Amino acid sequence: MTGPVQLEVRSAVLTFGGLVALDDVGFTAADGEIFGIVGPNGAGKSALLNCITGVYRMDSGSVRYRGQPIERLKPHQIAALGVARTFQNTDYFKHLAVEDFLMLSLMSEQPTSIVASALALPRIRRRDREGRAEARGFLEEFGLGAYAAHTLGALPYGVQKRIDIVRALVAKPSLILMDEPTSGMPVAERGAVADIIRHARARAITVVVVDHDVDFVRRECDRLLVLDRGASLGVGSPDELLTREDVIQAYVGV
Amino acid sequence: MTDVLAIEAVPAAEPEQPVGRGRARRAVLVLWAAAAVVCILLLTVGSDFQLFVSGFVLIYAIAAIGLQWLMGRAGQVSIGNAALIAIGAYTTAIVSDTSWGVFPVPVIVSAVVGGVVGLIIGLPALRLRGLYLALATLGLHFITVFAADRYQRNTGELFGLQVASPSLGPLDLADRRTFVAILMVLLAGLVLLLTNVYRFMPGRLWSSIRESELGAGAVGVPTVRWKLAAFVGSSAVIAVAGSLYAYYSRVVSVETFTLHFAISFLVMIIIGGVGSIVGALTGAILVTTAPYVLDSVANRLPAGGGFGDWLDSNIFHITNGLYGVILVFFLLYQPEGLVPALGRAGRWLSDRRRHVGAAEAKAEARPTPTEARETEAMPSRDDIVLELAGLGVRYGGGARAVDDIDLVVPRDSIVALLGRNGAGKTSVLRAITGFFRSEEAAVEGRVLLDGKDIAGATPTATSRRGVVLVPERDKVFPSLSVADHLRLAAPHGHVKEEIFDIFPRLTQRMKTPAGLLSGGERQMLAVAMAWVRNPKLLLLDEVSLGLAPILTRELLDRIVEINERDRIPVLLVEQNAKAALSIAHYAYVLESGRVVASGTPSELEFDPALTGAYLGTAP
Repeated sequence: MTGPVQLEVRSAVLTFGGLVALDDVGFTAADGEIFGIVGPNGAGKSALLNCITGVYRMDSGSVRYRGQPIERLKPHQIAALGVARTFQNTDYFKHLAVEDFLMLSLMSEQPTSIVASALALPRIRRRDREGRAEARGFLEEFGLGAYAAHTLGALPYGVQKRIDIVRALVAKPSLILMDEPTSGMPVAERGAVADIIRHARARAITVVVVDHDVDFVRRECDRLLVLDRGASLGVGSPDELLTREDVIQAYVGV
Repeated sequence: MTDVLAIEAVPAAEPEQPVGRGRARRAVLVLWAAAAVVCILLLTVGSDFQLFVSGFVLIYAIAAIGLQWLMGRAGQVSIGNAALIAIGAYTTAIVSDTSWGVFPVPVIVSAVVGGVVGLIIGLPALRLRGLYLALATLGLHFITVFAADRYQRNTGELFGLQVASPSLGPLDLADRRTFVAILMVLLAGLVLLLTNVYRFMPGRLWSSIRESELGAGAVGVPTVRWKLAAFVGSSAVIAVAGSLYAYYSRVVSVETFTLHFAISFLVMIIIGGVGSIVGALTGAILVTTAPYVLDSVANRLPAGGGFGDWLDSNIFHITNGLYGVILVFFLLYQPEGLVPALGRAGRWLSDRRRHVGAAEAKAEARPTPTEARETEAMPSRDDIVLELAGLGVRYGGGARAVDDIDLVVPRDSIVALLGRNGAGKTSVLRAITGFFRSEEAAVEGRVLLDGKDIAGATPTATSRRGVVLVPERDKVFPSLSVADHLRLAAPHGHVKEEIFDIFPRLTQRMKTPAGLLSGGERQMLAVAMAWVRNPKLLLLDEVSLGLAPILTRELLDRIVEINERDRIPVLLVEQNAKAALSIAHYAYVLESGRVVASGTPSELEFDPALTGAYLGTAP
C-alpha cells in the first residue's frame, strides 16, 4: 500500500432479517489506489458498496473517508464529499438524455434556484451552457461524444455502462466506487472501461471496483479483497490471492 | 471467411438520430403562434358562450399544468388536486371579503396557502410511494370537503360563498372578455416560467427523482428537498387555479369539489401525456370542452323525446362513463398520452418521406448471399426444429435491429447466437417468441418451427407450441419458493423425478424463497423451470450474465446435460463467446443486425479476425 489512507472500512456487519450479508468485513484503500472486491454471486460485494455510499445502514462497524466517519450520512451527503459511484444496472435513468444524466453530477456546482431558472436569468443560461460543454467534453474524451443528445435507454448496454462511469468522473470525485463495470460487456468493450479506470488513476482518483472478470481484476487492480458468503477471505495483491487454494475453490473455480 | 466479413463494408442503415434541436424549436414556435391566433380570435369574434367555456379551459389548464409538475416531472402521484382547488377558492372567497381583498392580493394569498398545504401533503410522500401516496392525498380530499361543508353550515352560507367582483385599477374584471384575456396572459406566463424551470437544473433533478429515487440519491441528488419543492410549487399553482375559479364563477360551494372533479384532472394529463406541458394543455382542452360538445350534439338532435332528450338528461353520467373508458383505453394502449404519440406520428411521416428513396437505392446495392455454400452443410428439412429465413426486425423509429438473417437449429443440437451488445440478438429472440413489448415492431421474413411459419404469433401461441424462453432478467418471483416455481412451471403441477439428478443444488433449496437465492441459483432455477415444461425448443438469453466463472461453468454443464439426456434443442444467445462456444455444436455471429460469420466452434475459434473483433476471446 502506498500513500495515506483514503477509505477505511472496519468490521462492517450487515444483516437482512436472518440473512448475514456482511460479517466483520474490513479493508483500507490508499490515495490513488485501484482496489478490487471480488467473490461469487451473493458474497456481499454490492452490499458492501451500498454500505459505503450510505444506501444501506450497517448493523455495526465504521466507514471513514479521509479520516471522517461517514457511516451515518445520507447518500447525497456522501456524494457531496467527493464519493461517486456507478451502477451495476443502468436501467434506473433510461428516459433521461445522456447530457442531462451527466449534468446530475454537476449538482453541487450548478445553480439550482427555481426562481432564477424560471426567469432564465443570464447567469443561469451561461452556467448551464458551461455545464453542458463540460459534460460534452468528458463524453468526447472517451469517444462517446456522438451520444450526448440520445436518450440513455435507447443506447446499447455497454455504451450505457461507459456513460455511467463517465457520469461519475464528471463529478470530479476523489473516490469512485464501481459496481461490476464490465458485467454484460464483451471482452472487446472491456478495454474501454479499463481506459477509463486508467484515466482515473492518472488523475489520482481512488477506485474501488467490484467485478467478476478475473483477468480484468488481475490486470487493473493494485490490491483485492475476496469475499465469500459475507466473510472476508483476505486482502492482498491479485497474484497472491488469486492463486490461493481457498480463493480458487470459492471463486475462480478452474 | 473474408468474403462474409466483407458484407460489413456496406454502410449499415443510417444510425437513429435524436430529434434535432432546430426541428423541436420550430415546432414550439408554431404552437405558440397557433395558440396566440386562437386566443385573439376568441377575444375578438368569439361568442359569449365560447368565451365562457374558454375561461374554464384556461383555469383548468393552469391546474393541469400544476399537477403535471408533480406527476409528470417529479413522478409523485396525487388525487388531492380538487382539494387544492377548493383551498384556493375558499381562501379567495374569504380574503376577498376583507380589507385585503384587492385583486390580485387574494390570488397571492391563495398561492401561499396552497404552498403550505403542499408542504404538509409532501411530508407523507417522503415515506409513501405510488398507490399509498395516492390514498394519502385522497385523505386530503375528504378532509377538505368535510371542512368546507362545515364552514358553509356554520356561517349559514348554505348555497356557497359569494365572491366580490374583482377590479384592477381602471379595468373591470367582472367583464368576461377582460378576465379571460387576463387568464390567457397568466397561463402563457406560467407555461413560459415552468418551461424554463424544466430546461435547467431543477428540471433535471426532478426527472432523475421520477426515474429512480434511489438512484437519484446515490448520484448525489438531495431527493427529500426536491420532492418537497415539487409538492409546494405544484400545490401553489393548483391553488392559484382555484382562486381564479372563485373569481370566475363568483360563487364557491362544496358541491363543485367532488372526487369526479379531482379525477378529471388526472384524465387530462393522462390523455394529453403526463410527460409534457403541451400534453397537460391538450388534455385540459379536450376534457373541459367534451361535455359542452356532447351537449350541443344533444341539442342539435330532433327535440321531442327520443335519443336527443335521453342524451340531454344523461349528459353527466355519460361524460363520467366516458372518462372511465378513455382512461382505461389510454392506460392500456397509449400510456404516454396523445401528444407524444402525435409527435412520433409526425416524425415518422417526415422520416418516411426521406427514407423511401434511400431504401430503394440500398436494396439494389445489397450483395446476394452465397447460398450454395451454405446449403451444402445444411441438414435435411426434417431434422430442423427452427429455421429463420430472411428474418428482419424493425422498430417504430425506423431503426433496423435485425436484417435478413438465415439461421437453423437442427434437432438435438445446441446452437449459439453470439455478438456484442446491440448486435440484435435479443430482437431475434423476440421475433421467435412474439415477446415484443408495446413498441411497434415489424417482423419480416419467416420463422419456421417444425416447418410451420409462426412469425407474428403471440407469446402464448409460441409457448403452447413448445418454445420456451429463459429471459435475461425478471425470471423468478422473489416471494415464491423454489418448489412453488417448479410446480407452477410443470404441466399439471407434476415435477419430474429426474430433477434431483440434474439440479441437485436446487433440490437442497426447495423451500427457500427465490428472492434469497444467489444470482447463480436463480439462473439455475430459471433453466430448471424451462426444463420441467418439456420444451420443444429452449431459448436462453444471456444465462451467464453477471455470474462468477465457477457458476457459469456449472450452469453450462446443466444445459449440456438436459440437451443430451432429453434431446432438447437449445438456442443459446450469449455475449460470453468463450462460454457459449465451449458447449455449442454450431454458432452464428451477429453484428449490427446481420450474420457476419457462422461455423462450428473450432472454425470460429481459430479465425483470428473474428475472435478479436466480435468475440473478444483473443488472448
